[in-house]
Amino acid sequence: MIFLDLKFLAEIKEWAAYGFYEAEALQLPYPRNYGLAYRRLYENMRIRIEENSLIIPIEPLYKAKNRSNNKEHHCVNSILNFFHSYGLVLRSDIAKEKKDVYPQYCKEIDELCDDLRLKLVVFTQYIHSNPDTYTILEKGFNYLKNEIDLGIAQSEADNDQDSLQFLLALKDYTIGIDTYYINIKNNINNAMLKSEGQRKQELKIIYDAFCNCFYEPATSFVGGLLAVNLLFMLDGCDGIGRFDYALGGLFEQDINSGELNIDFARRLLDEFFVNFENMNAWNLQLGGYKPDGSNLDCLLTKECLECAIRNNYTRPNIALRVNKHTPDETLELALKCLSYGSGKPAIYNDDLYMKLIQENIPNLPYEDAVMYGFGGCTETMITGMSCVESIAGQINTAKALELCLFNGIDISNNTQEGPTTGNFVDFNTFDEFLEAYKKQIEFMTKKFVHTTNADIKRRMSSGDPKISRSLFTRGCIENKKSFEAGGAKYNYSIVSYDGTSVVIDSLAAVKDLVFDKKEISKEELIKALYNNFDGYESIQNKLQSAPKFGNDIEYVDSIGADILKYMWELLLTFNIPRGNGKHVPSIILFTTYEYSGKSVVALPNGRKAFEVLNDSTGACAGCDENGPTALLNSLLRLPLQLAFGTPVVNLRFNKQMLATENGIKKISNLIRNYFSRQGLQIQISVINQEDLLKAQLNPEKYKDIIVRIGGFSEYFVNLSKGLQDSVIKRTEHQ
Amino acid sequence: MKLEKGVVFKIQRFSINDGPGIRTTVFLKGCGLRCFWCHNPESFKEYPELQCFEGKCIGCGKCVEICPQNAHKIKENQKIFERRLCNSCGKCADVCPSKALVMIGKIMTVKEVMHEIIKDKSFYDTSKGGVTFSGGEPLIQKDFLKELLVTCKENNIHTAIETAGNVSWEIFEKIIPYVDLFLYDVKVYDNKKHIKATGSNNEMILSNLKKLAKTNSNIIIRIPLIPGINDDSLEIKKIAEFIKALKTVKFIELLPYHSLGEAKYQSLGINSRSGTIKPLEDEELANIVALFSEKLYGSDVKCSIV
Repeated sequence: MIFLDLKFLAEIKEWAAYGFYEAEALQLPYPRNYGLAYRRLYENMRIRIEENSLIIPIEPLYKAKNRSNNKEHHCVNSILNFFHSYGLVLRSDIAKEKKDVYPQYCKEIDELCDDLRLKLVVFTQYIHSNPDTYTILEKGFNYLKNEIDLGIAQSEADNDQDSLQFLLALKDYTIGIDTYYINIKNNINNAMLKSEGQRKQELKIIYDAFCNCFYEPATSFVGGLLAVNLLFMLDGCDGIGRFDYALGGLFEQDINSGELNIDFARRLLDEFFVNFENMNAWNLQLGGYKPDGSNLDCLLTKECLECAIRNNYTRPNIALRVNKHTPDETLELALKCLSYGSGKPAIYNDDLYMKLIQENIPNLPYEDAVMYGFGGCTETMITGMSCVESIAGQINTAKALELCLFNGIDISNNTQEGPTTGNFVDFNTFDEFLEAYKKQIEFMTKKFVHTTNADIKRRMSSGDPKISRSLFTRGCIENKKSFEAGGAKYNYSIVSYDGTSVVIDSLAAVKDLVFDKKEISKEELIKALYNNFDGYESIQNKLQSAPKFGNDIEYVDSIGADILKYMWELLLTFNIPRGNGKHVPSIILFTTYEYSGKSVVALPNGRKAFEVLNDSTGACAGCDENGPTALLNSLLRLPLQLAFGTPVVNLRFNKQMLATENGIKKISNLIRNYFSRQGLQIQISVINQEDLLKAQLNPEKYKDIIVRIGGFSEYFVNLSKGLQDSVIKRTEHQ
Repeated sequence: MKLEKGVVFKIQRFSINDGPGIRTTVFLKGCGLRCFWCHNPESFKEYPELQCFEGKCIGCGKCVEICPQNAHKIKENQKIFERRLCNSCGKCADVCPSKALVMIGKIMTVKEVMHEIIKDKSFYDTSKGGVTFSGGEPLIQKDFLKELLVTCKENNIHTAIETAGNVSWEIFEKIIPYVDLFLYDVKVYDNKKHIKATGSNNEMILSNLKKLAKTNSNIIIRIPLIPGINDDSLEIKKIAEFIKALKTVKFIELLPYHSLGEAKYQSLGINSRSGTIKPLEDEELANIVALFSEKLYGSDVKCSIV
């Protein structure tokens, strides 16, 4: 078969496939096929140096979607391609393109795809991560290579074949990186020789820094940044960890010595940040405690916030850790950055996260705890040392309520989805109803854990072991186990809870109107819900007028507190098979919250069938009528600390609010107060409702409007109509 | 104690432009002035009244059924509300599904108002904020206001009052000990213009301010900038000189006119007279601030736009 012929694969430049089949021909055991695939991919990686660019390289990528113009481009045109979360994947769209380039091989390319489809095990579970930039900067790549060699010798001595094959696969990958590095170096040199004047001088700086970076500990900011960038590229452009912690010392050293020109440094930062946007990359963290217990806040923290002001895009999704030592100026600068409307940075209560992480992750030393950060939207993880299922999945609490109201039956397709917990009309008290709901939640939770754990088990021994992450996540080499197999120092999973506020409002309305005041009979309620309130508008009205979560009403909030405590404590009793970490709750409802609503019928909060649920921990859209202090007071009554995977709190302020020093000071005060009372996280959208309505009518003219949803920022015009409506409805605090 | 009742038309939490820190602003209903630019026309009358937003009416007819006064009618699919028949019982607002009918103004006890104020105590404490009583003219409901102030001070809450000063000095005397900050409106210096713009003369307003300044109370002067009324150099000069002469006042806040009230006027069946005013441009505002600063030269009075 010609497609297995390595010469053929070389001819059509399918280098990952080349390595994959090479291992097959050599009869190398799993996961050597992956090691060789990555090795060949990087040995043959095209190096592109764009005009005026300083951050080199900007490959490889599975695909890059420029988020500001929504255009996709891919740099690695391989059918067998690399994506940070899934590892090696088959891209049929690229196969199509390849057939246009090689029309003589259409049949062979199809055969190649068919064979890969059979042999390549792909799991599309999203795992966000932050590579271990710290080891690369402090010890260098040679340190890792040496560790691999030591591990190989040990495994051979122990005749431990699984460990040995894994480490040999890593070694193959490092050989690919070595070639890649040399090719980059030569390409920068060539570009430098071809250029003139200032460009030549600048490329000289980049070339010199690149020659002295990555392999050995970083000695300059430019070298450090290029090493971090190379790692960022090898990881496939996901997160980058504590950026100012990793590079802040070198930055200050070079600025103070005069080695680094601040304008040049800002150009580098600008380019690095814009690459985040262009490559659909995710999280970058700033601020927070250092391993010695002092507060990091440094010149680079400030420069990064100012860089985010200059580059007002959705990415990087910046997480700012604020603790009691963080100067007000930093928080106020962050709010100034937010006033431009990009939704960045999100602000985290550093003191409380430190406490919760240490309480919840066993055997976590302080120096590792301080390295916590966030992956993707806002999934809490110890950066550079964790494999965190982020997000392992959603538990739709609103769906569980629907099932409870109809004795376990999903009325949209008339199937028994949950356990039979009794007919609603037969419940004599609100507590009986609540008990039934808990049973539905318990069933749903167990089912979820069972499915997720089975999936994790499969990934631990088949599919892409995540070669790059295994190399650049602390623990994997030492434990001689891949990222997927549980090699990382810390392993757990983050589970998001959908529709919690819909549930709180619904439970409160049922308690008040059906059981306490008996203004609505049980039969009437069920009929109204079953008929999606058609013909039952007055019942819907009553339900909508019932007190709602987010308004600082103690009795509503306490119903929420009880039920959330129940469901989250329950989840926390379950471990994942990888490294025996926990399933950790969170409320991170990104665009999924519209999707979650699509499967849920009408509910007793007055919401009609299939409408959106609530955004993250927030009140149901338009229901918090008493301003941000009331919303925060309500939130503080919920046991959000159990959901430290991050319970996202979105506040939306009118643009004028952050346009003045007075407004910034008062919002800063608001955040400090919330954090002093043990609130975990706050993110802020700044936008006028009027602007959003206009944007809906003329999306072309308002492409730049960014709103904060779930754990990160998105262009408003890219959202679906339903989601746009819900963002518009979300109460704007004057 | 705490038996007093009053009419409150809004309680706004996280109020950030009515004094220092994070505040709750309590709006008391009733005002003696009729400033034609007022964007709170619902504050005019001292009793609760019905607001009727015709655009929101869905023609369900529930108000027609329930109204004991027959003030609501639907004729040829057209909703008609006869305000003269309405006795503000509020029954229609309770049943209106589209919130086209809303009762503005609620009779509340001191205890009920305090319950709302206390909710954000933690925010006041950490931001050095507190409560601001506004209106309307809060001093009109003098006994209710005094009890609220006394109770706030008992609870260690910073108090501010936003007043136009058009009440007798005796009322001021009663509350001064319990007020940490006065936000005192000065609208127009020229009395004739003042009468034309607000329906009242300004003699009592200015004389109360003079007396208040002598009591060592904290005072911030607030001036709504209304194009064509008080934005000319003569007015600015006179106001600035007057404030300068008070000696104890250190801050002037300028509030540029903005038109928000139109729909509210219609909903209350009041003719709006502010339709033709054009808001001031940024450049004009800058000129006005410069002019104030020039006239205040030699004093330590600071002037800013809020």
